[in-house]
Amino acid sequence: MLFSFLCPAKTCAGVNALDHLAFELDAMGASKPMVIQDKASHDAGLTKKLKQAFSGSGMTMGISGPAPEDPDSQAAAMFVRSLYDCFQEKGYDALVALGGKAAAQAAKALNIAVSLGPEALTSKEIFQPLAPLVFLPTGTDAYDGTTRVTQFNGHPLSSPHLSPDLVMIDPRLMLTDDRNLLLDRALTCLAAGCEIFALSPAPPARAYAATIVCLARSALASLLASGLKGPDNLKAAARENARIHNTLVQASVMTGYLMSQDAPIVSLALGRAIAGRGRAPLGQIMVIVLPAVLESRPSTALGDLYLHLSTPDAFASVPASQQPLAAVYEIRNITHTLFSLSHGLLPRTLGEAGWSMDALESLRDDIKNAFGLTDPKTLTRIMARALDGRPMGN
Amino acid sequence: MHMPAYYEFCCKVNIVAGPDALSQIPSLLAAKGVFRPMILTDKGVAGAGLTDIVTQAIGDTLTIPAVEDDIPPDSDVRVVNRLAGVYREKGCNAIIAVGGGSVLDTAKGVNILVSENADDLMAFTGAGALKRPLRPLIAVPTTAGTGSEVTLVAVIADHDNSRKMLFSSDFLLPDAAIIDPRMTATLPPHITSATAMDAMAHAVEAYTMLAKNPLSDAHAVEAITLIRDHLLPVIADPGNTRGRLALACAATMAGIAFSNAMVAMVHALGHSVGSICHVPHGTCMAILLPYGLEYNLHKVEDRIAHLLLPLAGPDVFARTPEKDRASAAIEWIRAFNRKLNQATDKKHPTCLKDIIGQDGSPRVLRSDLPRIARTALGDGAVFYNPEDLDYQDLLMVAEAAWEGIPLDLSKIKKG
Repeated sequence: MLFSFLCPAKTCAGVNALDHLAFELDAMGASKPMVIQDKASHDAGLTKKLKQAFSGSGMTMGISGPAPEDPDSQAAAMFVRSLYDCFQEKGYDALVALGGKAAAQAAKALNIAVSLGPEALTSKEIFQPLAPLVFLPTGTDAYDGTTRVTQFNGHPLSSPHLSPDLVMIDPRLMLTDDRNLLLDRALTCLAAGCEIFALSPAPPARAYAATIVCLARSALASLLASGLKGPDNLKAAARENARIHNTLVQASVMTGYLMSQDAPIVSLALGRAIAGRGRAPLGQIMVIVLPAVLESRPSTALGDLYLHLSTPDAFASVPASQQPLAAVYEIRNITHTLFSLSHGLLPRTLGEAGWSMDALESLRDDIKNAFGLTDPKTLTRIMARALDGRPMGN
Repeated sequence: MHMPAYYEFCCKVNIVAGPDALSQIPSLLAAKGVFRPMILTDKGVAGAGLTDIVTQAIGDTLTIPAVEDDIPPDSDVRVVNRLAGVYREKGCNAIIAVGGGSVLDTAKGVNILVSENADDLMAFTGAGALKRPLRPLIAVPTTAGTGSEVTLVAVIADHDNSRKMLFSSDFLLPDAAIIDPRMTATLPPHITSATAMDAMAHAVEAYTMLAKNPLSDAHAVEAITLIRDHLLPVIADPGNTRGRLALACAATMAGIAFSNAMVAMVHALGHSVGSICHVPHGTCMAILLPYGLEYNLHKVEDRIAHLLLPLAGPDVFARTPEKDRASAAIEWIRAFNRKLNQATDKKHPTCLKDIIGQDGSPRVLRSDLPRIARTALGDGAVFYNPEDLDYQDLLMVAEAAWEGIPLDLSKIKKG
């Protein structure tokens, strides 16, 4: 079976990562970056940290105002247009996106315009390399910035050249999400990682997926250990949330890399379609549908997934023939635990989330068209099993 | 999971693998807008018919203005300059490198010259001298061991000035690595075992040494598992295409792991044995790997213990008490070497003194060991070793590996 795997981004993560930014830009041949930030980063004054990191580097940088949230809005078009002129006039040579989706999308659109000309923003394909692009994530939605896709003025664009060249994760830039969001992002990354580890034929994808599962499982364990509300002591809660957030940003960055591969992530496609209707958040839906997704296709790696969901000793104690079942049980157990800790507020099945089979069937064409899932029978079986939580064989 | 305070991870190479992966080359180059690749290879690869397989897989969708097959094993700046001239003269706009480390390093050197429109390779030595993307380069590895298709360095000799030039840059990473089992199908069993154990050493050292991180660990574990599962079956059945593909993928995964986490004393000693005694690199790695782990056991026992799971599998891991897992992992590698020795009709040696040259004489003499230890001390890989090393330490390890007896752990200076 043929597979391909491409992750065009270099990842730098950890304490004082930002201090390496000037060096990394220089290695890419850049010396005058323009920083595109989102509103949250702007309001938090995060560019001060960037200026500190650049002090003494001999580089100068330009800093934008906050990027509009909606990439299809008139304001976003104006924003990119004005930065395009500024970029050309002042001789910038690289882009740094600071924040989340809005900053990343604006930076990607601007990069197309400055590298290939504004007319390229309406083209279907991007073959040529663009100017160096660095992404500095601040939130656990970092996967939106590390993919190879973007959207501008109602026009979706996808190309490996749209991936950032460098992703730098520095704890000093984190804008800690609230605990509910942390929980859902942990579930999102966990589900995507589990699916790819179990079903991808590509060893490099499985290696990234294994890392994602371990990071997300660690964050989830911390979230569940202290109850969904977290420690009562506010300082302790803030410290713990910051640590979990930092772990999840790494998992989220890597999840974005895997979202950029050719094979669709079925749990993500279903999650986005179903969660988009607002009855439960994305990660919760993904973990609910995940067992059915994993059981829908033969997998030689499903048993090994149990290793990453448990511990080496727990994994090794289970006979190889039972490890696939143990992996699926471990995933189901997450939804059971959340149901219990939330006193029934977090659903275990799509039925408990208020969905019926008819309502799910009405989404099928959307899911197929949007995510390239071409096997309608399997899709129906997955949705039916996720509706009531029954295993595939029953 | 080992989480360092700070880590970096990078592999920008598009990895394309499968039984007919070579057929993807035209579309990969078309996506870059280029259609006139030069093929670089060596006489051995061409003589084995591998270049023909590549050109047939490409078909007539591309124009191949030049196939240059005279790259020597220890390539040189003169070769690079000559090939850059051919590239320009024939109007090429991309490079396909088919072969092992020397071919790929040469291809990287040629790519520097033609992309930078330069004629002096020296201007680009060291780290970070390249500041922009080079011309498209596609790597087709033929050995399933070195991992050079995913490394960002090139070493090119300058024999006239008796020096080796090192180049390091993300821009030296090939655009794509094509992993096709046809490229390793004709490797004889003992070379299959040596190259796979080269990859095993990359993965094990990357997992156990100082610069590891979660992503390099995950790549290393995938590589180890693939080698564990497929090496002996491929030696028993060289036509096992699925196994060949798995081993080639393992080599690439191990290459990614070590190029991000670095290697240590096993490679320092291995480079030295290879250069002084002209022993194939993979053979050195297979023999020296358990000794390197033994030497560092007191520093990284937990990491070595973790490796028992991918090496020996879950049943052995569960049956082995926690305190014994590290030594069991080392013993597993020794036992694996012994199995490979049997499976290859004793052509896979298990100690340095058993390495025999084509003339039937031993390649590594006991009298070579002091020089081997001295040379290893100057190897950059020593820097990444968990335990400090001096000449006496390296000599002690080399002597044990020569005899084929475990290290006397009481003699290791524990810093």
